[in-house]
Amino acid sequence: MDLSILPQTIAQGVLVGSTYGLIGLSMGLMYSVSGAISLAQGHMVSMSMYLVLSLYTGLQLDPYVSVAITLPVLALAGAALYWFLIRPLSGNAIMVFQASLGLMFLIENVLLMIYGGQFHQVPSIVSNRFITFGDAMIMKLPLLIGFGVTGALAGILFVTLEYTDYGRSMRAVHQNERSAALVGVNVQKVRLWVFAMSGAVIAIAGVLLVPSTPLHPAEGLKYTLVGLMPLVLAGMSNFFGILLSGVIIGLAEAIGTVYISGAIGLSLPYIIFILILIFRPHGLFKGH
Amino acid sequence: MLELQSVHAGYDGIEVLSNVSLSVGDGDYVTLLGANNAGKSTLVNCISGLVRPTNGRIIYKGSDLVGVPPHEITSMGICQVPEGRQLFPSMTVLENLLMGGIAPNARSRRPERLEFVFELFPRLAERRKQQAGTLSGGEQQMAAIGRALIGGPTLLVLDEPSLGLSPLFVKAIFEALRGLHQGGLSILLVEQNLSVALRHAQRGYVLERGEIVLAGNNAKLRDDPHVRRAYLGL
Repeated sequence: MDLSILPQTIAQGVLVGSTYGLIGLSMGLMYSVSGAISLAQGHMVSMSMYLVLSLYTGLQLDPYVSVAITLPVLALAGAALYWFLIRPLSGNAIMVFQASLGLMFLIENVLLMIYGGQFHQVPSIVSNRFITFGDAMIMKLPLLIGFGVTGALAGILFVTLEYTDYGRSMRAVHQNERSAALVGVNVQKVRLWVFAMSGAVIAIAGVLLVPSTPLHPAEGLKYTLVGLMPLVLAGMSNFFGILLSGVIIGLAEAIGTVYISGAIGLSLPYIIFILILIFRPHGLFKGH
Repeated sequence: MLELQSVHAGYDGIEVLSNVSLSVGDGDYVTLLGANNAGKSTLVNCISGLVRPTNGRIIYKGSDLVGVPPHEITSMGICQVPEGRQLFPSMTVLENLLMGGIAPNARSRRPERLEFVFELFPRLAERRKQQAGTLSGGEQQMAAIGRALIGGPTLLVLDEPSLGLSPLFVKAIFEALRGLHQGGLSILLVEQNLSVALRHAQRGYVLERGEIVLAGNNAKLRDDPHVRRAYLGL
């Protein structure tokens, strides 16, 4: 066991995990106002990543620039997901689950049709930049950017939820939908906006993943899983718990890959996930 | 101001309200009396837009409310205090009250109305930072009434505000309501506690199995032999 690369491994895990947290957050936002989970969320991440690829090959846009386009597009996709899938099924969680399964295959195969089954890579001008901390840690700049953006988003989300009418309306719809309607909240509009927000978060997660991750249509399911795990660990609608749990999953992945050889190492995040659920079935952040 | 014209309503084909007509005038204090399952809450929810009547009209200030979504009805000046309080449990008292004025047309007047509610129920001012779910039943009822008042209602609809409260809180809440009514607010009070309701309202309706069986001023209702026997146990 080479302990000299431990700090590096931990830092790597934290940074990658923060993007997992973002995917979980996009699901948590959805769940909090509609009580439904979409399994196609990871495939929407893939979709946003391929959009970044097309913008790169077509217009030579750097991934960090193309977010200006993917963000509104994915926000629209999120809103459309609510309007055309969740709303007609009136939030029936099982039906949404099944419908999103269909959507998952649809997105995957459309991506396969357009881009083919080979891996793609989208470089960014910062892809090969590194930042060194002392002599023990060398971090890829894209990962650091990802971590910074996740922190900033968490801050914005906190202020919005705590101190604005918009955030309070979101919490109100989550806690008591009928009362929210009675005091004058347009519940449908709040849901539409939150789904758009969820799409925007996906676009950001996608852009952050692109410079350090190869693209493949079948990767969507992996993103759904790494988003679903923090979501469940944090008890479904604790947004900051979700981001933190994403970091736990990222850490488990980094440590498992570096220190434990073979299949066990790769499945460490899932093993830890199951262990946490066995010992804390209500999630990590609830008292009882 | 508010007039229900032969309203029918139900769920999944089972009729809960049949041919209900009633009216609340400007500055009226009207009570709707009835036992459990008489259809009181369904009627309240028809008024606030949560339940859509299958037939009939609900005329408020000249326009029909049937089909208007709940948040718009609130903006029009009908604010409901729902049965069982229905606060936002993990928000603070202050946040709950702020939510009461979330409608775009109520936001600008929120600070002054908040001050008014804190004067009406000083206990809420003391507990403003406390989570609503941790309040006592009576305090929660005060918060629920306060929340409705911040929307700036012209008609306040209360669904069983005395339910499960100690006599002391019942007294405090009905005194506050009397003050509000004297200040010009119209009130529709839905109750199964007849002795309390008839002491405060000017007139009332009795709802049984989804139908209005009796209407009149409170003296008439109090002296009615059927009411005395069925509801007051006399």
